[in-house]
Amino acid sequence: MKMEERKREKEVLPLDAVMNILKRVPVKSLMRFKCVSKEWLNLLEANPFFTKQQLEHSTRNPALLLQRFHRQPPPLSFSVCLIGPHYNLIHQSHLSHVAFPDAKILHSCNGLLCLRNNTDLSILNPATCQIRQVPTTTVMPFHEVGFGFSLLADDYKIVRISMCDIYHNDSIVDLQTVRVDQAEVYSLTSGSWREINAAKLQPFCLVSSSVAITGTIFWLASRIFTSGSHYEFVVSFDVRRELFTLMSGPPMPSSPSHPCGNVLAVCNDELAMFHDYIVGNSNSSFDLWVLKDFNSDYDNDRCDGGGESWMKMYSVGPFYGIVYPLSLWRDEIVCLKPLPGGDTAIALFDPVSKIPKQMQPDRDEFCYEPFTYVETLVPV
Amino acid sequence: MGERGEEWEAVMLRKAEEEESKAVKKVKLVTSDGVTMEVEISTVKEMETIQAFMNATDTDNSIIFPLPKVSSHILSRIMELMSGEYDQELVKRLSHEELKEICMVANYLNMKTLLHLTASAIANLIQNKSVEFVRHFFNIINDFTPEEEVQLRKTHEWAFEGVDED
Repeated sequence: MKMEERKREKEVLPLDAVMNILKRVPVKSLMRFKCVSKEWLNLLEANPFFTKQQLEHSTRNPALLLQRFHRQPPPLSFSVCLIGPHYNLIHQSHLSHVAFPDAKILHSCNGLLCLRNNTDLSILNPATCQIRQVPTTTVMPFHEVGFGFSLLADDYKIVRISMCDIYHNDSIVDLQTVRVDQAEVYSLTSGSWREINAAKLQPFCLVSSSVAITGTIFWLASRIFTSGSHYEFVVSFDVRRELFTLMSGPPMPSSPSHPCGNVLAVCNDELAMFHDYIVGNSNSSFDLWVLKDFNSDYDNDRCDGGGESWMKMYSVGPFYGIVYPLSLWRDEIVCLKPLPGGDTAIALFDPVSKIPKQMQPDRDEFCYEPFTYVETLVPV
Repeated sequence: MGERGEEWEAVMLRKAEEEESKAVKKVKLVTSDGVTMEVEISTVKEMETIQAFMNATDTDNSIIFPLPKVSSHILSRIMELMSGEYDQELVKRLSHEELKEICMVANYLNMKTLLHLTASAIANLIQNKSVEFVRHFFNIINDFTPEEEVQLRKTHEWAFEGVDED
């Protein structure tokens, strides 16, 4: 018996091997395993090294999170579903068990979701069911919200950019006369809002929702001149230094096709942009450009206009009919396809095999918004 | 025997020596239960912990390496997995105890592919299991007071839904 006991004692796995196993286990199970022992509780609740290791592992296989808009009245007007690496439906729910019943997902970053309920914001970790209400501040009728993470600062931040009508006309929305007014930042670490300098953005109007790579949040901004012509720029926000920078987009092709617009996306933690255009009567095509050598979170003294450059990755199409690119998930393009009757469907398109996969919509869904999602232990 | 016999013996001896130098280099691993297992040098290449010691003595033909933490049973299981190119089916046939011990050895000898394979297999095995199963599997002693444990379970009640039977 004594021999047996000594033998068993020797067979305890070292902590690094335990971490190697646990990083592969779903977060819900890890929440349960906090009850295994004090050592495990400490590992799963307060070990930044393990939290990072788990996130790194889950980031390799991100799920596609679809926010679905239903034709039902609140609180059932939104729901979410998660699609796994093999196009399997992992999970679907209303977020109501953890968040406000009608909270809408604005952004997803490293497994944390930034939600909006009326004008209130919150940060949710759906895997651990932890939620943080962000303190309320007065907001302008027009504003854009960004959500990002800085590795160097080890902090998550929400940035809110308010816009106002330069003629102070709040009743008529005329994008020609709406300009950036002010910007404020909320940090998960500090737990408070702070106004930041947005003078650089004041001649512009933000025309897209944001996307984020590690260390930087991006928007599309438009500058309208008195002559009526307008130019599009990319606005970047350095999450750690809380500074805005302006960049130009990729060179536009001078083809006879009709350009439709630009859509920001993220490709392997780099900024990407879809440039879509109509060929012929009504067939969509699009190009994917990626911003290379953009040093966001690593270089301490980057000036405006660093060594970055746009690189064209591929062109796809023309498709039969209209298809809008929305985002990238792994190596696939997530597209929105208008259906007869005004509804839309989500389709995934692999640019290499060129085979589209259309997702079967439920009867009462009419629109979708895609996000990349990974499970994390990051506390909020 | 005479001179012819001696000549013949000398020829055979030379032949044998030639064969030996042509043959694949082998390493002798001595397990915790005192068994010496001869393995090809290519096998040892994946054992990065051993590899770190090997480079200095690379030219030596008769390397003996002690593995005080590895039993002959587990080492032969590892050889099977390696020669089977880490087939998932072979992993499924291992007992829980074997799986855990192989994972421990893979971690100790820094065998990346084997560690990845066994850690994933253990993760799959435990993900839907109870706290009690996990304690038993990892030989962990519960050091919470009953009150502390009740409180913890209450806080994460939702995480206890849908657990498999042990």
